[in-house]
Amino acid sequence: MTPDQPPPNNLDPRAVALWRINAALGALPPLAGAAFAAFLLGRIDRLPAWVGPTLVGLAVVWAVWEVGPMPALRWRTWRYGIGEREVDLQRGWWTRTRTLVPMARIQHVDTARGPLQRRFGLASVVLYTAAGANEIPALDEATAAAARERIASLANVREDL
Amino acid sequence: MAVGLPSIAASEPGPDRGDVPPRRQHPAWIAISAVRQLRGFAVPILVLVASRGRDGDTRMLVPLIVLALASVVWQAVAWRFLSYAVEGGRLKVQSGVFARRERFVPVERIQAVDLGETPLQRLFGVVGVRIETAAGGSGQADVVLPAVRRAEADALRRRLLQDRGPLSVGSAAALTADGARPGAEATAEDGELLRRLSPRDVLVAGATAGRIGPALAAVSFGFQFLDDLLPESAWRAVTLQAPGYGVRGLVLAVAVGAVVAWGLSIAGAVLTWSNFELRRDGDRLLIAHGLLDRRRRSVPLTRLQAVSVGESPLRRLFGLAEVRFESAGFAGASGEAGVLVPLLPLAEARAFVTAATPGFSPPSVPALSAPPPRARGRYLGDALRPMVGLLAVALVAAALLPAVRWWWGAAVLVLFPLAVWDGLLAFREAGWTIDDGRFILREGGLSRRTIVAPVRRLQWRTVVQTPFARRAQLATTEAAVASGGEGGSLRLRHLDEGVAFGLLALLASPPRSDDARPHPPDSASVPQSPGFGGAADEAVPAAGYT
Repeated sequence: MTPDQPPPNNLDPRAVALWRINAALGALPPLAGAAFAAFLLGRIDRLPAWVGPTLVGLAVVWAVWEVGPMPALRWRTWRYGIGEREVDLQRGWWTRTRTLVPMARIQHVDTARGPLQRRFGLASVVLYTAAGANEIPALDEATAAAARERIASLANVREDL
Repeated sequence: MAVGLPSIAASEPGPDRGDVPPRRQHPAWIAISAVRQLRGFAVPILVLVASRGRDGDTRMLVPLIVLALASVVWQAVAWRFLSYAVEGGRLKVQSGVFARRERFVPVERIQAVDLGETPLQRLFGVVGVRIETAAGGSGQADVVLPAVRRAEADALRRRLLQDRGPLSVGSAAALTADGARPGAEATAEDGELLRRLSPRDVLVAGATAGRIGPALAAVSFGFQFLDDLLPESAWRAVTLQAPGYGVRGLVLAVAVGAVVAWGLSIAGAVLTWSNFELRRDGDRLLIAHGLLDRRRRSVPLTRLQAVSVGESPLRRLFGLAEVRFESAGFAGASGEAGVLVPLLPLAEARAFVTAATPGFSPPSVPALSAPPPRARGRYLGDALRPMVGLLAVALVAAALLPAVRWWWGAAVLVLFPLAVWDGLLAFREAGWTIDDGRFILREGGLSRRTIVAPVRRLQWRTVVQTPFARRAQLATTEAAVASGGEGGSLRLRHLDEGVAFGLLALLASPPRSDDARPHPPDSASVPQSPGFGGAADEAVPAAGYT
């Protein structure tokens, strides 16, 4: 196996829009925090006047990045494959992470659908091992259910940890 | 309902061999949990008693005492509704006066059984039983029975850890025995004694523990806290008596802090590790330790996920080491939970691991594959990166302090050589091999850890690569075994890219004997990756494998 052979499947394309909304919601508290901090910093006389606005500017740039290009980048780099013996996950646009989870180590498998995901008709598949969980974050509901069934049947081997 | 429970004396062996009929804990449970609850009352009572001096009014104490008594009565009621049993291969714990709660723990899910004795429990001749499950992470993972008669606890432990064959006569007798046997006899363990710590060993363990760093931090925090509390006049008095307080006082404070922290570390080791004994009884390890709070822990060998030999910087100087194990239980338990031996000479470590945990002994001449020479800079970078952050924080902090100039923050530069040394050592020590189905990994720096984990115990494995690493054709491989603590991660930084991905394939679980089972029909709608991992066992890239 080499990095040149990524796992075969992409997530559902609707994931991009879902992530955009999530990122926009998630960016609100930090933006409010930055504005509040800028307000507080503005009241300290010893500090130069540009510190507060710069902080807000940085927060806005970060938020635009998170809502704009980031979800699409993440979608393009998120790939998965469900093999006979292992589940193969690859993610990350900057730090690329390739993870293999053997079927024999999977204790149980869930599909999870948050309220926003339900609106988009998406679901995530969560694989639990004795050393933590791994997630395939945004699949079409039918695909997710089928993936869950397939993983469950392949993983259904009684064995000690 | 619990009211219908048979009394202990009347209990008979259940219909199924190995069943334990429902039973209550020792009445000492009432006292033990009442004490635990009353600790919450201690502070208000003390405050009231202390303030009493002023007006001599004790009436305020009355409602508190009533509350305390009510709590004891409530505990007594709760005790009657509390029972445990082993039925049909499951541990069943019933509790709750109004809302009844039943917990079932399948015996095969139990990772370890801990027996603990605080002085209070010893007073009543009972032990606290803690049953570790593999529920990992969640707070309620373990079943805790705080007041079980000693003999019953031993028998329960045997039953839960599924001794091969029928219950021995001794333990069966213990299960039906009414009340505890005399303490001396009940604490005697069976099995072959593998290791014992002398009082001197315990002191050395405390003196060389890696905890000195964190303890020092705690002490200096305490120092700052004191600084905030003491009135200015007190400080002026101190500074007048110690001229040049600015620097000298600081050095003095750090030195005193270090000595105090060291003393605390030694005291902690004496409390925790006195009377340490490790025994092996067939396929179980029995670990006993503790001065006031005594613990006896049973860990089935089949439940071990990995065994590691660790050397903190100080211990490395003296050729000493600590041996730990990883097991799926002990989620959220204290750091001592995974210790197999707190201190032994490094030279004896291999023989010890072979005797205690045969499957986990490292090969005699571990020929480890190392990261390529071009990874050296990256190891240095890893060690220096936190230092750069520290420098920035120190400069900002110094700039904000009115008393010192901003460049005083550069004082943290004295730590840079240490970081460089740590990074170079980390590069030199890092290595791995796969030997007889076991993944062996050494990671280092000023402290060092060698960990052995069977490949079939690896729960997942991953390769991480940043764009910079991709350009240098380096990558980091990580695998994890089930662990209740932090030590379950096996990480190899900055390997050659080909080796890193090859390792991902090498660490695939070997095919099991029952792999001949028919594969379930593939659902057409599910995307698949063809033959992934399946070929890993044959197509082994030779790179880096010794």
